[in-house]
Amino acid sequence: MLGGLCVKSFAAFNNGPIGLRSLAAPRPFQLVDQQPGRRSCGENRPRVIPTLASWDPGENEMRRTFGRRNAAAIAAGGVLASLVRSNRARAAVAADMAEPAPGLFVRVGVTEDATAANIDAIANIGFVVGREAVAVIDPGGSLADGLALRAAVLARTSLPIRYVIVTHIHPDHILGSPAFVQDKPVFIGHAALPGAIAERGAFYQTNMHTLLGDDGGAAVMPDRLVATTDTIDLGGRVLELRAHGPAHSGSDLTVMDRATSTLWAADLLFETRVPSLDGSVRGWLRELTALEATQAARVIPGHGPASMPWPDGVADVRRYLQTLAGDVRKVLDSGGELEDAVSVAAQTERGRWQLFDDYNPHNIAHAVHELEWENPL
Amino acid sequence: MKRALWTALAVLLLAPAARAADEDAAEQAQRWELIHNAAFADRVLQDAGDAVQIAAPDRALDAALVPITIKLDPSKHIVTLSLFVDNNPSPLVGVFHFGSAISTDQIKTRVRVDAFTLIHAVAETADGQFLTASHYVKAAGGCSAPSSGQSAEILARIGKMQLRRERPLEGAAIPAQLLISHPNYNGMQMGVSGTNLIPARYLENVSVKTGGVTVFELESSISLSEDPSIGFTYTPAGDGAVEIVAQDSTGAVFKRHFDPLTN
Repeated sequence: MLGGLCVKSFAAFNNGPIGLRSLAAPRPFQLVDQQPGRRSCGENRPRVIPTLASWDPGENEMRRTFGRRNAAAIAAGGVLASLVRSNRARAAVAADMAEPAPGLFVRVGVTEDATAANIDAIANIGFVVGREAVAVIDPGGSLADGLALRAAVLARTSLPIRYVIVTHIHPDHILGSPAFVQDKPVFIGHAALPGAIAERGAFYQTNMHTLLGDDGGAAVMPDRLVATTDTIDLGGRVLELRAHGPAHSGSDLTVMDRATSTLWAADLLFETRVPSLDGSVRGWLRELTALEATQAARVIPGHGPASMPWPDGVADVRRYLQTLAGDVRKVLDSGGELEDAVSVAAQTERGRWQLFDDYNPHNIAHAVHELEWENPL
Repeated sequence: MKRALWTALAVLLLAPAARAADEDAAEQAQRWELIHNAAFADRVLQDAGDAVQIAAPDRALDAALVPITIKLDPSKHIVTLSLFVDNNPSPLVGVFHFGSAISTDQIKTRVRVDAFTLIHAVAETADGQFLTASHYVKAAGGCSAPSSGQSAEILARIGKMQLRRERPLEGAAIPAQLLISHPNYNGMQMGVSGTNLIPARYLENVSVKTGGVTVFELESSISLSEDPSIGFTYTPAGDGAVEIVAQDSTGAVFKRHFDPLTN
């Protein structure tokens, strides 16, 4: 998803008044909710709060983990500390997982924007089990979401969670990170991820805290960075990691599980939910073409079903992006600008995607901004 | 009113805007009175009626990139136009000082919007009237929101300009869009180090002339979007070329010459 949850539920991108009416804008860099008792969305719906009985890193662990890290992570420490105090005794409910390939598990996200009721479990997240260790691929959209995923791991294996791979900066993929800190995994991300966390981490956390309180979660700085490609070995099962240029976001990472010929494309691939653009429309099209050369039996999209035959889905995303870029260029070439693009760009895609009107306008703004500087005279 | 206005309005940085979603008409009026007093002191402002009209999308596409169009009645002899985003930490977007080469039919720009807010335009006429119009915009987070993620590209092309113009009919005024690449850092965005806010660095002055005749001078601020865009209409003078000089808050000066359009 996009800078994410964003749009409706977050004041950040504001695509619609629904979530915003009750949310209001956070003041810049204020890391505590001014009205802690207040819930913005779905406040009258039952809240699922899966947390883990054994969750207690202790103050020293907190310091080790966050003390040397950046402001965003320090803020997360505060979130964690209060979580520990308030939720220590509660048990996590394991997330429902699909197993599209042996030992590869996917929790399918709902096609909604983040709300308190859905705990931002809106992205496809999961894990891969090798002979010796487990790698989590995207820790989830909130601490609550991450704890539910962690419970699902523990329900299936006693092998250690040695790696947490974060496919990109967006909150629905990254904010569950603190749920796994207790496992002392190696957090892996794109070489551009630390910068993105520094720029946006606090902003995303603040907004999710507004929505979910202490269950909101935080970004954790990666320990290991991927600039081009890398591999990790889970014991008889090697995962190939690949860093992409600016595409869906500025920090996209994909994962190839050779053992089952499964490509975890994360948010380079959307199905059903309209793609959200927060990197480069031209770059995304380039990366799709490069990715298409990958041999794989199936693919895990960042949003959509648990898996699809590869390369299903690529054509849809490509068509959307080409239509968006083509329509925006037409507007710019005929002397139009942002306002003129809004009512026309990618309108032929309406009806093919869910949440279209929540994301397409922001995608247009992003594409106009990018493409009007494409060929400066 | 030039610099004094900015100094007065800086005070508003310290006055937090109401949480916009909860804001009612009384709070809006109170906020505007604060701005009005700071910016125009004892001036009497009149409702502009049809003379000044603000257009903006009902639902903002992107709160950091909200397009605003101010339609003006050319017969009113407007000499300055001030634009405010009331609930922004720094409400004054900018003041346009019009020269004789401008057609005062409309001005367009893109602004950051931090919270649901009224946008105000105040047009000063040659005979000393101050005409105001307002428009409500539903957008939020545009000030503290991270930059578009294109920061590296923008810094690499900082100061580059485009002047997008329509081919004129013989002797007619030319609608134009000026794009100036600049991050317009507002001092509220976190840097990639994560430990410091990126210091404010924004366009302070933009001067547009044609054949030596002023089209407009803009004093601008942090509420202008990244890669600022300004739409205006001008009547070519002299050789018809357009000269742009922009200066940012670090003192950096960016200049660009655009040849006259030929039919």
